Amino acid sequence: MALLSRVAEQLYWAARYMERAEDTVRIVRAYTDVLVDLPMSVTTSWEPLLAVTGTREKHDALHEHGDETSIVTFLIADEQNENCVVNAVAMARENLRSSREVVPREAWKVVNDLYLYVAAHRSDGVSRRSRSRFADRVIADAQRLDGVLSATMSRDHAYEFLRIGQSIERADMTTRVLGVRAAALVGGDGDPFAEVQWMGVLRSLSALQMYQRATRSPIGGTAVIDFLLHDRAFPRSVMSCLQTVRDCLSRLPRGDQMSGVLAEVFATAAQASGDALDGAELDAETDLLQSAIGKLHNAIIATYVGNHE
Amino acid sequence: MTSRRATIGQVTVTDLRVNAGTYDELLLPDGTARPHAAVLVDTLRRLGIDELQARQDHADLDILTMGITFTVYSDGRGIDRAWPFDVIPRVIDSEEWKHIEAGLMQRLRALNHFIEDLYNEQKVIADGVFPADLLTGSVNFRPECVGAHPKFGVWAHISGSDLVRDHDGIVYVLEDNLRVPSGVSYMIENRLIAKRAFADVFEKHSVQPVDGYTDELLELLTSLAPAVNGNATVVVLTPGIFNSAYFEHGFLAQRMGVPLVEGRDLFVDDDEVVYMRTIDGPQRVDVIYRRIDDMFLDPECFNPDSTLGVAGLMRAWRAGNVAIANAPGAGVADDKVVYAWVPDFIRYYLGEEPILANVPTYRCMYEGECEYVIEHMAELVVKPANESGGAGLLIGNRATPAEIEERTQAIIADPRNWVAQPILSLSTAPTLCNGSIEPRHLDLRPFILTGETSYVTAGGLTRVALREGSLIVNSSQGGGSKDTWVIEMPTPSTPAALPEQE
Repeated sequence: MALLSRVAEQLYWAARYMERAEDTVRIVRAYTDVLVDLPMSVTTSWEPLLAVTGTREKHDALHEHGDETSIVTFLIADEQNENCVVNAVAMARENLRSSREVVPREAWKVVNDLYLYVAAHRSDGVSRRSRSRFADRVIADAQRLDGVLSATMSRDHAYEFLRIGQSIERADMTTRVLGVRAAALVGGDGDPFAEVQWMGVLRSLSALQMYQRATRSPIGGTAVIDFLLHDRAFPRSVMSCLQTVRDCLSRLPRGDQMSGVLAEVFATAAQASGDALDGAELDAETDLLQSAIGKLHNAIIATYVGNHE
Repeated sequence: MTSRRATIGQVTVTDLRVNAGTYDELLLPDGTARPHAAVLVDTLRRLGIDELQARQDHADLDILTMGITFTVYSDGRGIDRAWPFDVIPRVIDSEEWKHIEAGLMQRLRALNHFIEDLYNEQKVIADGVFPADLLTGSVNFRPECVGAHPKFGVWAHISGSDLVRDHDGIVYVLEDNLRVPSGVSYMIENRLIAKRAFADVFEKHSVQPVDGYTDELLELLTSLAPAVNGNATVVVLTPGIFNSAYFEHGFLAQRMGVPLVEGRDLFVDDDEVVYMRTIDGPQRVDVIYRRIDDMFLDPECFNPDSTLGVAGLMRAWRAGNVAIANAPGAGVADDKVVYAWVPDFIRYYLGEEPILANVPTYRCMYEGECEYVIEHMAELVVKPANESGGAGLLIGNRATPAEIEERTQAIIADPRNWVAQPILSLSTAPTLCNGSIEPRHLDLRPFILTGETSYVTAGGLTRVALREGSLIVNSSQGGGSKDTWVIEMPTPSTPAALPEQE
């Protein structure tokens, strides 16, 4: 059965928003954990979280103070931030609601269930005492959705669009973490707390354990950056996400129309590296990567959805 | 209320009471069970209030997490509400159901003959059975449909008639909903929920399944396709997420495995064929199960401001390139004035006597009947001829003098728009209300599919007025719902249970 263009777009966005919610709570949780490990003497700021999620301007326009409560509330539960976790789950649900005839019923149930939870427990996501539990729930339900789709959904075009949305959002998020968190650490090798911070970077992408298995060496900036950019086996690395998108597109009609833009984004990802860089250079490289991913997004929408509103 | 729940675990006979002068679906006037409800009533008594309430709470939670909702549209926003469900089922004896089922099929056959006739030869008017002036005043007659011949001569493929039972036990057809009746998804969901809540009771009954509806619907829709090569493409056309029945539109598409489309997903090309926009490019659509009203179907033909429809859809339909269910214009027979003639149509077109009773209906367009209505308004239900959803209903014995005066003026101003019927008492069934069991009024909406053959759901959607004494069952106005069981009664010739094998 041919897939409606509108439905393809809604599935794509449902998956992106769900991934966004999951990634955001993971980043907030990992950052909270890192700050706990740092001594009182180290000045800490929550502002990098705004930079990662690209919401600094919006936050500062609405809020006077950039303290923990203000920033975490903004990222988790602030209605004025359309990308906050509660909104992202709501948007995933809205998109799935009008495309639910093509996804397994259980998948809708998971997202609906999570929506009911986050809408009722938004303050739990902010309070330090319950923040981690809230994050666990969001991550567990996102993974439950993943499991339902993986185990019960036919590998049809609808499935490809869900996976493309998820992978593009994931690649984008990994790139942002690298551009902000890693770039701030590069060159600071004398910093006694660098290792703790690098661990935090890996944790914010659930990558610590797999990194350790893959490298079997102490945690170092270059290796971490390289792992998160290029490791083909780790599913959250930029290359791995891009490969998933490429595979999905190869099974869709007219997927070859995107081969140019795909080649560009792969080349950009390959060029970026953890060697011999200062923070500004890494930041610039991840910017390039993000704009290449943005082009890929535009090409997919233009090819399959077009401009008929 | 809490003390009562704490002290009374078992439902007592007095808990299962019947209002004097009304017919109860489960209970005889003395509070004992009707034969076909005996096992259920016995179970209710045995479970007790606390256990029933616990099962109700579970059911409510299931409804919430499964996202079974209906949408209330207010202040320009659609608000989702959880579907209201009462855990105590309503049961119907299968022998009685056979009779109702035959009556509904008969009714829809006659109504479809009438619609086909009205848009073509108009023999019914020429033969003096139906007054010509009624047609000119009908807001649901579509001149754009004159001369059309949908396949099998069927216009109203999917209908949902509202049935009520008066105090004397007689089942009446209250109205025939031939446009876009909704509720069938809730009928199916209610069964799913009830099975979880009452697995132990289902074991003791032979309840006719309702799950087959969507298969029957798909088969019907597919049969309507214009001659095509290969598989027909069927779609469900929805106005979008703000529609009160959006849940149902998605449900039906999902269960049939067909696309749920909005107007913007479709277009009509120069070849007068309907296409949907897919990721593979345009794909031909053969059958549209539309869940939007006639007036919004095609801005070229009807409401030019409609953004919900598809420009050129009527051209494609008239050219025979697409089937639309229900056919545009089918609503002409779904009119509270036309209703009064349905028994005549059955005799005229089928040469049969009506199997199901029509409620006596006074038509204000006729002077004598209008006078009667105005003089006896306190004993009548006065309805607008063309509204749905229970709005504008005046129940005479509950109206204030001011309301009666206001309605009188409205009737004088536009008599054709009003009809009146005697006040039926509406049967009740025991319903769980805030920790006790109370009799509440209900109706029944079975769904009838008409194509080359006919199909009627086993039972239908039971809607129940949750407020004490209320006769308004609409979910948008405080109504709830019940699962509806058509039960096979063991007859003397068929033993109730097979002997155990050694």
